[in-house]
Parts: sequence; C-alpha cells; structure tokens
Amino acid sequence: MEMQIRNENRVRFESIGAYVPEKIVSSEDLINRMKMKIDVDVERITGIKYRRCVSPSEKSFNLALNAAHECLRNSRYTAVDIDVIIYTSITRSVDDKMLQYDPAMSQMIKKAIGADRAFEFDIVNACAGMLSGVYILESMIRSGAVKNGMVVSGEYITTIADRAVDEISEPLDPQFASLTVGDAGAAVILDGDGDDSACIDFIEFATAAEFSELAYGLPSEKTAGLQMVADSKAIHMEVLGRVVPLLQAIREKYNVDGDDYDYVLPHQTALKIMEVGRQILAQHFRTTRVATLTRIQDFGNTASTSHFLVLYDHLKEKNIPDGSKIIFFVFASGIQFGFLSTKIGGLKIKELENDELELTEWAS
Amino acid sequence: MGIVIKSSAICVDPESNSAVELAARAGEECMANSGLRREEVDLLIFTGVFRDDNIVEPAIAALVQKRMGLNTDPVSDGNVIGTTFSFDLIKGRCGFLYAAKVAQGMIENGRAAHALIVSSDVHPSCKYHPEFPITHSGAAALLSRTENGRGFQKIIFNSTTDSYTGEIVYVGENEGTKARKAITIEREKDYILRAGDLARKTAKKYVQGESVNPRNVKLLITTPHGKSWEKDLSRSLGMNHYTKSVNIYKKYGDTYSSALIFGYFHAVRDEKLKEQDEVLFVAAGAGLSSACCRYIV
Repeated sequence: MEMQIRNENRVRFESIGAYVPEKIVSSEDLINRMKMKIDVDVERITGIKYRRCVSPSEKSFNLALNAAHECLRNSRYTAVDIDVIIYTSITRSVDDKMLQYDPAMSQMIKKAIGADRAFEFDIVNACAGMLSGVYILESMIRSGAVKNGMVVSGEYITTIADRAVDEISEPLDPQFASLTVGDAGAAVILDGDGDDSACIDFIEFATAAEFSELAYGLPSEKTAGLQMVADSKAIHMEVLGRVVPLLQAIREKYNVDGDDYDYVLPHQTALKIMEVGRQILAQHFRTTRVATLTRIQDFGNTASTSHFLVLYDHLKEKNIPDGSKIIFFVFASGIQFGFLSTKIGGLKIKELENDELELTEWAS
Repeated sequence: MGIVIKSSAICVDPESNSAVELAARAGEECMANSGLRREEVDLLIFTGVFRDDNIVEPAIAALVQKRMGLNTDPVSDGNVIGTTFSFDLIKGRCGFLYAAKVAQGMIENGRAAHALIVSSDVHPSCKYHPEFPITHSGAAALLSRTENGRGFQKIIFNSTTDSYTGEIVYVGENEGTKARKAITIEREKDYILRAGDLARKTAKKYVQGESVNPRNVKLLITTPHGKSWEKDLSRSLGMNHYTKSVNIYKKYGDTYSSALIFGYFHAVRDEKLKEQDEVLFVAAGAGLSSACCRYIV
C-alpha cells in the first residue's frame, strides 16, 4: 500500500560511543575451561580469537553507561540536550540483579548521565535491539516528535558463554553459538540535521516469527546464569535464504544498485557467514567493491551492540572516510531481518585530552 | 493525521497462565473486533513486564506474532508477500502510552498502517501463585491512522531524575538455578503516595499545557494502584463533578502493563463513550515514571 510520507527531517548518526571491558579471553582459554572436553575449534569455525569479559563488578548497566558517556564525549550535545533515550539490550543486569524489568534500564541511564529533559523507554529485540531502537528513533525524528535521541545498549552476554562452558556435552550442542559472544556497550546519538553528506537513506525490518522458537535465551536450570539454546543448523539452512528476496524487494523499492556501497556491516556472528552475506549483497546489488566491516577476531559477537562497536572501532582507527556509504545487516532471534543504509559524515571519535588520559591511566 | 484505537480486547482466564498465550488471545479477539485481516498488521509491539520463564530472547512479541499468525513468514516461493515487524517495549505500567508514541511515529512516516499493541503479565513460573500481587491478564489495542483529528492527541511523559524508584521488579542473582521461575517485587512504603503525586503533577501539567477543559473530559482512565486511586486523581484535577472514571482495580486487581487498555475496553463495552467524547489517560509506575494523553473518541 502506497502511503503519503511526511519527510521533513533527514536523520543522521551524529555521534557514537562504545566500551569494552579490559579482560581478554581467548577462544582457546574458553575451550580449555569446558567441563566436558570436546574436540571443537571455535577460532577455526568462527574466526573469533578473543572476546572481552566483564569484571565481577561490571554489569549490563555499567557497560551501557560507559558507552553513553563516550558517545556524549564525541557529540556536540550535552546530556540535558537529549530528547529521548532508548535502551535496547538483551541482558538487563544491574548490581546484584540478574534481570531488572522495572524501572526500565533507560531511566537508570537517564538518571546516571543527567539527561533530565529526556523521556525514555526500553526496546527488547534480541541482537536486533540497537538497530530496532535506531529505526524507532529515526521515525520519531522524521515525524518531528523529537529533535534528537540516544540509543544505548550494554551486553553482559558472556554469562551465556559461561553456561555453555559448564553445560555443553557434545560438539553439536544447542549452546555452541554461546561460545562466540563477548561483552560490550555501545551508544549512538541521532539528530535531524542530516544532508547529502551524512544521512540515513532507509531502514527496513521484517520478523519471520514462524521461526521464533528456534533460539531461546533464558535463565538456566542447570547452572546459575543465562543460557541460550539455538538450533543453529535450522536457522542457517531454513531461514537465512530469505535475505535474498528481501534484498531484491529493497533494491526495487529504493532504487539502489551498482556500486552504491563501500561497506557492508553485518551482525558479527562468524567470518564465513559474514562473507556469504557480503557475496549475496555483491551479487544482488551488483556491487563489486563492497568490503566487510568486522572486528569479530577481537571482540566476538557482542549481541545487540555488535554493529556499533565495530563502527566505533573503525572510526577510531580512521579507517572509514567521510562520505562512505554503509549497509547494515542484522539477522537475529525472532527471526529478525533488518537493513539500514546510511552515508557517514562528520562522525568522529575525539582524541582524549591530556587530563582525560591521565585520569584513565590513574584509574587503571 | 493522527492515530486512533480501532478496536481493543482483554483476556483473563484462570486456566491461562502464559504471557504469550494471554497476549495472543487478547490480540486475536482485538483483530476479530477490528474488521481487518491479520495480514494488515504491519507493526506488533508487546509491552508486558512479567513474562514466561523470564525469557530474554526472542522478543515476546515474536512469539505472540507466531501464535496469532501475523505474516509469520515474509517470504513465500522466493517472493516477499507481506511483513510484520515485532518487538518488545518495556516501560512498566506506562508502556501502552510509550508504545502509542512509537506507533504514532511509525504510522505518520508511512512505515506502518496498523499497529497492534499487546500486553500481558504473569508469574514467570506460568502458574498461579497466591502471593503474586499481579493479576494474570492480557490486553490488546489496534491502532490505525485517521485524518479526522480524533484519537491520540499529544502524549507527554514525565519521569523522575532522583535516585528514588518506588518499586523495583527484578530477578536476583541469588536465585541461582531457580531464576527461570523467580521474580521479586520490592515496594517502598510511600510508593503509592509518591506515584500518585507524580501522576497528579503530570496530569495537571497536561491539562494546563494543552488547554484541556476538565468539564469536557468525559472519562479518566488510569493505572490504578488501589481502590480509590482514580477517584483521588479525578478529584485533585477538579474533574469529579463532570468526569466519570473506570475502576479496573475493584474488578480485576493489579493488571500492571494492561491496565489502561482494560479501562478503555470496559468503557467502550459498557457504552460509556460516544463519538467525540474526550478521554484522559494517566499512567504512573516505578521509576518513578508517568505519562498522560488526551484521547478523542
């Protein structure tokens, strides 16, 4: 159905922040810790060498809060300028609470950063959480309901890796994918000051709920903490193929084609799967030069934060020039298919000031 | 352009103790009342707080979408045949008005034509618990666009910035291997009082800021925290002589995230509302958090 679209504001990513905990755990360390000794090479199968893990005092909330502060440091806005805060993680741990439902985590973030003017709510949508939050915020800015907003997430997700280490009993165990995750926080601020040099072109989402029961995350009844059980084989064999017709429909709807994209930014699951995704894009968007953005080797799959952690890290290393065009893919439990197309410009990670450096060194 | 509640439904059944089932049953009845086909729902938002087995993924909305059969597979024979986007929104007792705000943005931008908002709350064990203070309940409201200026007017939110939260709903780490079936609700002694104060402040700010004439408000629908909550609120807004209120609490107890839809559904079913009547929605809950909106039938 064709609808009249009000499109007063062009929305852009204004700033970005991310945070990873200091502790580094290799895939080898993880396998060596497994109770049941099995012959499985996580690094070879997924390309993941390392992931970051929280210290005992760090929870989802702390990871998100650090990312929110870093995002504000890179923004022209201060906390009191923010109109809306959308918190979007799978894990919801704070202090000694494994899952906090109410008050919403977004209100905890609002209080902690002093965003006194903002209204706030949480979105939960598995690993598609942050991109779902961006979609919702982009709609609000375009319709004029708000001028700007922050989407923020913190994932203390290695709790599911610990369950896998303790509970896996065979190589094809439904918890195998849990060995790929890492902890991180990420935050982005969007505003309505987009233009030809920096602007989100489109966002599309579809939920293939027929397959919603193929992956579950919930508290384990064998050992304490969250576990994820997934029929990874069914997900990849039966569901992933739907990305092709969805991409074709998007290509027709938005008239994208040829060498439109510099980078594809997929959800960080495994190198081989991401390469298949890149090839599908190259074939169906007929784009030859598109490169994959990843940091999976060092951070693993950081759940809902994964796209923005990777983007932050590449921006920090000045790998992505202004004017680059990026297409984000997400494929997450639900099953969620999400696509976001944007041109990046003016998105900078500020160098730390001298006094900030000193403080960091002192704190560590 | 605005958005209007096309239909609503509720579900309470002592035999049904699953959040997915209660939300889906309310959703199905809501669809049946709407005259729309289920394929026409392109946005599904679940706003419940207490859920089956403390599931963290997928979104409960996806499980409800599957159960209701709403465009569950967007692709058939290699073609895109229709899509629904579903996700959960968590904002305690105020979730419905936040979801309405989200739906407003999506519908105004042409990203959705019809948004189904569903909610439900159950003990995570999916069993009746005599000491669990929340009524196992589900509700649904179908929101569609309208060009006649009726429906949701401006929605405002007001949440506190100090450290007081009033109420906390959580699963403690100390639950260990029992965490799947465990839930804790902690309430400060003065929570109801302070949540009431905030609700009143927010409603007053709305009435003044949006030039609402209390004489024109036909019905006050709130998230009741007790038997006289809505009467106190109505009185303090100077409405009691002109305005009726729905007390869901007396009949159903604490329906948490579903309370506003329960109130609206009952008002419509009991024929308390006619076209052009003004309704004031006022929600308050943990955080502290509150929301207010005028609605024209």
